[in-house]
Amino acid sequence: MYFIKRMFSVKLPVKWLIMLFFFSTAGSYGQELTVSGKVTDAKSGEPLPFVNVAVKGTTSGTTTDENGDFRLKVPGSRVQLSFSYVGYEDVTVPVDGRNVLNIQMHEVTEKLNEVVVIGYGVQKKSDLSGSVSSVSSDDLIDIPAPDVASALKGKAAGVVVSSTTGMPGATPTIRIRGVSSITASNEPLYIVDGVATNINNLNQYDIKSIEVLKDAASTAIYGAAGANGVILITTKEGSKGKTQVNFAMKAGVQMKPSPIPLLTSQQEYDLLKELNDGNDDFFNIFSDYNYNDRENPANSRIDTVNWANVDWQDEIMQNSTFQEYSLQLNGGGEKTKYLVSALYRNNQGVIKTARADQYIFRMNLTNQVTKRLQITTNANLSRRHQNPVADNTQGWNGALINAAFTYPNFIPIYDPDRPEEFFVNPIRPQFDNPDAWIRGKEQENFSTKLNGLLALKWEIVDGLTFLSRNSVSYGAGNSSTWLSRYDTYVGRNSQGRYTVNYYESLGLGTQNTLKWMHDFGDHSLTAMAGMEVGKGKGQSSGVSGRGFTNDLIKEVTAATEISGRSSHSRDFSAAYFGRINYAFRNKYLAQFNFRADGSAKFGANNRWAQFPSGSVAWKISEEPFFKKNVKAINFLKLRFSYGLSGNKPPYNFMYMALYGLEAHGWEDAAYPVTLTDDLYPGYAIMRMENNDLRWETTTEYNLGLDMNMFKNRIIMSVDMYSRRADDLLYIYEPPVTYYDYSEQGGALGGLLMNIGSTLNRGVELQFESKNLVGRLKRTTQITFAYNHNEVLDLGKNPSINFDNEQVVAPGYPVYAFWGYEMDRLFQADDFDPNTGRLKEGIPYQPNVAPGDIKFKDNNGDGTVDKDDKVYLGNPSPPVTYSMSNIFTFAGFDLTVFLQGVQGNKIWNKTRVSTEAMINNLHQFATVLDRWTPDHTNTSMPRAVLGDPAQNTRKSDRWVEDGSYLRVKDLILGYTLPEEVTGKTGIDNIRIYFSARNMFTFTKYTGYDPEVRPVDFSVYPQNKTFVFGVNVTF
Amino acid sequence: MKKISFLIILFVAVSVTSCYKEAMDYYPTDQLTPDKVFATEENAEAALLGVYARFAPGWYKYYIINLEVYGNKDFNPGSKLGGLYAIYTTHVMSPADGSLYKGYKRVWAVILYANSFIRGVQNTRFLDPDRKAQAIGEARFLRAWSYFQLVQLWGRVPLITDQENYGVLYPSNSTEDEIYRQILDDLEYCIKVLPDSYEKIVSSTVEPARVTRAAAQGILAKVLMTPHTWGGSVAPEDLQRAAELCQEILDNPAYDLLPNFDDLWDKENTYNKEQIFTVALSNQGSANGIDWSVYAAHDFEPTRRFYDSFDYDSVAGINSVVDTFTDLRRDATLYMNPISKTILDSKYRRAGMGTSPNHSNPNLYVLRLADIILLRAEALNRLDYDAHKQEIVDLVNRVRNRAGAVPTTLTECSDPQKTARIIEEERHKELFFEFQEFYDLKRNNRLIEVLGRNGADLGLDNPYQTLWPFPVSEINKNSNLIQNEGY
Repeated sequence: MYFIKRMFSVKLPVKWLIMLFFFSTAGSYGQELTVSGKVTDAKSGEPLPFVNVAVKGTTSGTTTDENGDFRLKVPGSRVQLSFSYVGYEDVTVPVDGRNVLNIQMHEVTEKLNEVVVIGYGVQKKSDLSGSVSSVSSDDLIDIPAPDVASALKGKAAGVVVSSTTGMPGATPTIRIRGVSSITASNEPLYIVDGVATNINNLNQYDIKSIEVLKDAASTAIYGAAGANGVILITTKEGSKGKTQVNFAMKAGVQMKPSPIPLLTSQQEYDLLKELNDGNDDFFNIFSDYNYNDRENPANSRIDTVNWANVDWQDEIMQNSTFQEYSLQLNGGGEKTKYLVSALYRNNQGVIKTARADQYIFRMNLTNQVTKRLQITTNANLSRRHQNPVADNTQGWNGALINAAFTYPNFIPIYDPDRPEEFFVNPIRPQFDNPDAWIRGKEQENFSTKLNGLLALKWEIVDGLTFLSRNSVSYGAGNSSTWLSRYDTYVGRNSQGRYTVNYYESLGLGTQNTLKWMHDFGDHSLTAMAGMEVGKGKGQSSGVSGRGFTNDLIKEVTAATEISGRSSHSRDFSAAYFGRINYAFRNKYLAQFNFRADGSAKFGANNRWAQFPSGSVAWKISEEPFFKKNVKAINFLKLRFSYGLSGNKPPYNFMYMALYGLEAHGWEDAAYPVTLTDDLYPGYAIMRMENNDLRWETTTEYNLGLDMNMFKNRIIMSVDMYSRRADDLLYIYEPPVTYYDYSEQGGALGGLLMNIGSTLNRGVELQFESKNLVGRLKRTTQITFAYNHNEVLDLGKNPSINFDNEQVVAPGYPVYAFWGYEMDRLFQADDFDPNTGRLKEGIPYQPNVAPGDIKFKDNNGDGTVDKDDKVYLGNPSPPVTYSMSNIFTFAGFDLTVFLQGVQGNKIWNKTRVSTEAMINNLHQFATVLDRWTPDHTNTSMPRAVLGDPAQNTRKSDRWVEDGSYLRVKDLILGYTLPEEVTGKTGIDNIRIYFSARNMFTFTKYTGYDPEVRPVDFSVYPQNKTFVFGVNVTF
Repeated sequence: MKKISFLIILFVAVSVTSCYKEAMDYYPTDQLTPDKVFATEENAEAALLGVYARFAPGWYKYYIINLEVYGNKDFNPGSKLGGLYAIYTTHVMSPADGSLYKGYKRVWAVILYANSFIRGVQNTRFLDPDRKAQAIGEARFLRAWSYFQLVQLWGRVPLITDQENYGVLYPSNSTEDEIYRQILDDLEYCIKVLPDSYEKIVSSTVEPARVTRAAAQGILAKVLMTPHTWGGSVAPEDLQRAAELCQEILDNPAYDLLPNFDDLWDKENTYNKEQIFTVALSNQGSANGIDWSVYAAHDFEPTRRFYDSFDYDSVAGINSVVDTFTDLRRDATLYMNPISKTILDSKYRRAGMGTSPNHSNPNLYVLRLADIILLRAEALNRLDYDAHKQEIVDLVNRVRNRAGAVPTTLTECSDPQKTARIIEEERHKELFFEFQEFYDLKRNNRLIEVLGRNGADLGLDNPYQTLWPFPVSEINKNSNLIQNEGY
């Protein structure tokens, strides 16, 4: 009471007086109160007679009359009334001093009769025989996720969303039920309003619902695009009635990550002394003053008395802000409904100068032209502007975050004599300081995406509906990069460089389906048949210039050397599909789907792919014996499905032979046919044709159980699945009778063929319960998934490259980590004092000395070599889980969302450059523990230039446990009471605070355990705080 | 209502049965796919040069050195190269050997390219249909010659042509007879369509690097004279035809022996009158380049015995005028270091040891007239010694006289066996380090006698050693491929 009074005391004095009166009357105990009201069905509005109305905690109560009205005396205003009725969910409300309480009750089956979107149609949730997870739009709104995909994190069992980078404007990857494909994509199919598209151009406030189709039986209808799961997004239509306006605002700050401790300048200097012992010339640059000689860096000087101690992590990172504004109008009349929305998002990056802006506009119109004909037009326009800053690239000059760790911090940022110039690194001039990199490289991306949909729904006769969806999608964009000719090494070498790339693409599609429904007696049948055709084309071009005289004109026209490129692309696909649903007495359900897909991506021998699937379900709870005897469970369904779905090859024309002027990129196909040495150009075969190239096929079984208990107070489902992907695209080495191999050592090359198989098997659990339904409400949602992932087979003689960190090998997870295992460090007494060689019995390792790492000789052959490499861990987590608890009390709501993964490893490649101690890079403070002859009791090896003993080889030294548990979201919101807002014409105001990534429990030492599987100084995501307001009027 | 619903269904059905085939059969605009490569005559010619370019680098470096070490009775096994190529030197072949695999795949690459070309060029329109037939002929020659090498070295290789087994991933072994039949088929076609010389096909001058009719005739002669399997025999008609083919080449005024043997190896004579078919290794480095001479010829050590076997200041038979003969081939072929007395090759290393560019002829001879002369002698000897013995002696002497060696006589060539030995020895001296010896010995069923314990004792004692094993990776990848016996 006090709190609420305080809130309104300043703003609305009149209201305060009224409320004071109101609450003071309510605050008196023991005073009897008469409460009356009407109870109606929430959906139909019909009054509900004979509803039991009880005072909670007492035996007093009454029932509603034929008109649904009730009247009751309650012993005080603090009591709660509970309403219960057969077939309806119980409702408990606090009286709170009110005299009139009008109650709406929901049928228990209402939840089950909820309709969900499935492929090319809708189905009642209770009738589903496949495995589908639904996420409602309410679950997505107030988390500070920058895009729709991130918002799905932890919402559906088996759907793993991982952000591989925190860069603004980047989208996360989604994996459903594990990784199946090896070279082809593992991304699920995204469908918005029936049209395949990508989802980084969506406004989350426009979304009505998201369904995730997980098993092959559900995705089979999507044919050769459905193997990795399908995410169906439906946008809101308008609604009949007065125009509703929704305004939302979000503003927040993302904190920069806690800095990782690095060596101080003095400690770095000591390390350099150890590494360069004996090389006196190296230390010429160290003196007692700072001097920058840009032309001859060897003449530069570094002050060792007053060390610069530059904090690079602080220099390049900032606490970044973001904001989002959204306005949505929807309404409609008898014939027309509309939804119009606009969104603006702005996101700075944690790394300075990175940012992204996005504008999204949408207009959805639904027009009921006649009783039987409905036309819908949806249009979505998105414009994005991004200044990306590169991370996680392999080279020096792209991995900015890595540079912040490894750039020597005793080098000042600026030239002390000319403060506008950067100090050139005297030890390694081509390694620019991170500030120079941020300032000297400007990158800008623009992209525009327009999606339009024209849909027609025609109920030809009762039970026969024709639906046509026609879509257009247009995208265009450009990206430009400018490298200043002064600030960076690369820029200086090419005297400035400017590159700009343009692309444009257009896609058209049409989908036409005919649906027929008929009930005859106990049987109910629905049949659907349809076709779909899609066509796309695109073009791109780019220009690049170098050799600028100054930084004044940042365009290619000012360059002295210009080059360019251009290309075109085309795509075409067609498909037929159909579905039959049969139900007997609404108890025994069966569904059969079929799809045939044709695509230009398939080889000439395999133009059409076929995908059948079937599923059955048994609503056990509809059986009379069950209804009679088992009261606690109000819904129980057992379902089983089997289906085939597919995955297309990633690019067009991969089945065609390809010619070029050189074989394998270097063996000239020219021949000297004349008397002279002159070479005459010839064509070499760069790729043999493979007319058998086809799609990858996934075969999946799914067994599921859905159970609702206690009148929907508990809703849960359990799924067990086994999916096998065959004909996986993989680079395969055929016999030489079929393929011309290159002479070069190392990778021999090969042909992309359909050759591998993987298996994913697991269990998913989704659980939701309304624990408390009184004055304090609490709802819990839990998801849990366990997935076993394994490569089954790679055909004959696969090209397993065991030299990589990640390997595709039968019997192990896809892209398993692979490498040596550390045993301990070599100490002085491992060596024979006379010869200096390893003692007898110690497995041989070349070039080792005390302080180097002794690796395990796993095969016992006396030598440590590549046959001793073993499996080091799974990059994808076998176990993923999440739990969310939502509390509501008197207008407040609190959400606590936990999310975690277990059992995966991360390859911390950052440490390979920051703990190696093999070159003159700046290192982490952890290297203070390194082995020296005076400090031998450690596991950190010695510092040695050039790494002769290969201490940095691919081993478990770099593999860390990636399991984590995060308090992912903490959201505290408050909805202003109706009495307050009602008077102003506002329907609803909610304000909230939200904190993301507040607490993380993990053993991983890098910035963020969510970035997987190889962390090479990836852009971190860190704690984020958001304040938001949603207003509806 | 029913009418409208029927119309709807019709509309749907029509859209459903639209012809999507053309829509999906199209080609990219920015990549060189077969439709573009074979669209014009000019592009097709470039594709043909690609086949030549494939066989050139494939021919040397990995495979012919091995071949020479394996087949040459006068290769010094104790030399550095002998150690490097131990399995070839000792004739104990290992299917896992890397250079064996490289050699095998290189020869196959030519066949792959030739098949692709022949298939693709069917649809190309040539201005002159005769040229089209010639182009196909050039490709078929290269394929036939590649198969000839494969069948002699590996025996029962799979048979893949543009018609048969094209695109088969796991082909089975074929039989020697089938392979030879294909080779004959290809070469007969070549003899019909290939010209004697080429001019202005892709350049504005003559193009002597291409395969001519004489090349086809020469290779065909060898094919006809080679038994299909070890220890097999050749029909007299085939020997007759082979001899006739050789004669046609000898009668061809375009070809003649160079008067000076040494000139064959000089850079000035890259293309000369004696040459019938060469591998053109441009003098410009890169994959086709001349590092050949720097690379292996550098280390190839012949035996002292060979050095001493040449006539030097020799005197002819008792009936001659006193006249000394010095076989100029010795010093053109071999180089003896005056101090260390090590003997090295001299054909490919002119003007200093391993200097590059050097003065050697960058091209490698596959067929030259001297070879054809001795081939005819061999064919006639095997066919009917008695009928042709004088001609045989004359043929051998034509080669000897050019070389400056002691001429042979009927007394020396007194019977077919002795004559065969003399011809064999002459080929050995004339074509030393020209990658012929293995084939010559195989053709005459002499491998075991010459290289085994009764001859040079280099370890080739068993019939299975007359063939090389299939590379182990090929056996592992293709379960339909059966390894040669003994391996």
